[in-house]
Amino acid sequence: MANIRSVMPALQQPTAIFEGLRRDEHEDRRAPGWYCYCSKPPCSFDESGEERPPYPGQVFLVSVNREKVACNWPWARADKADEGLPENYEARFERRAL
Amino acid sequence: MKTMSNDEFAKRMMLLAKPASEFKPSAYYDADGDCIEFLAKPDPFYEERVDDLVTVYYSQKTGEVIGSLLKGVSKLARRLAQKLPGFLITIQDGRIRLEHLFLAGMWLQKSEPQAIDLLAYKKLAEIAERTSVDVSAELCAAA
Repeated sequence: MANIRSVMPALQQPTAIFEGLRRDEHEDRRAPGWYCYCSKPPCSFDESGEERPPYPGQVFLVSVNREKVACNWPWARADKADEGLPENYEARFERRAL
Repeated sequence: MKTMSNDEFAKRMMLLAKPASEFKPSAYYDADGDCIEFLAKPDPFYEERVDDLVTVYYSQKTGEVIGSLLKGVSKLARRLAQKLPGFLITIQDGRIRLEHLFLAGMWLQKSEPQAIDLLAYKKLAEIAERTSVDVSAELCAAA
């Protein structure tokens, strides 16, 4: 829940924006029109909302739906070649918008 | 409507959040995303996509599996009804035990799953069973 404090900065200063999750067998209704904002926040937050250092080797992702509503905001492993991007981003998303 | 600053909004959300001591393992069906989010522990987590059905949540503190996002739930339910009709007997009082969905999802995989993916499914099924978490079958169109 405390991660919500990183959502607005991620939307305002993303390191990358991806469009559409890859369609596959279990066609995900999130696929068309969904965006994923990726960022490297300067800090993380613990369960009580206290600031902590960011998680090393991870990026912060915000999924935004068709109605421009941020729906989830997890941390995820970063790409080994580019720490500003999520792991396997080429396989996960349709295209990079930013 | 009064506009809230980011900090005000974050503070309000934190007030609404229950303290970790009151946390109960739970699963929530999100109709818009047609997904079920399952959380067994209140730890901060990072996610890792296993396949097109399951994304696993790992604790930032311990690295253990503490939850998941199960996607394409209504489609999974339809496939279960077609291919595993006996699955319906696992619905009791309109609720589906979450471990059954994980196991069924694993059985329905067409491609040979990676050993590591099987481990993730098994671990999730085990945690869901241990925490006795269920979801409404009607909400996720499996009834």
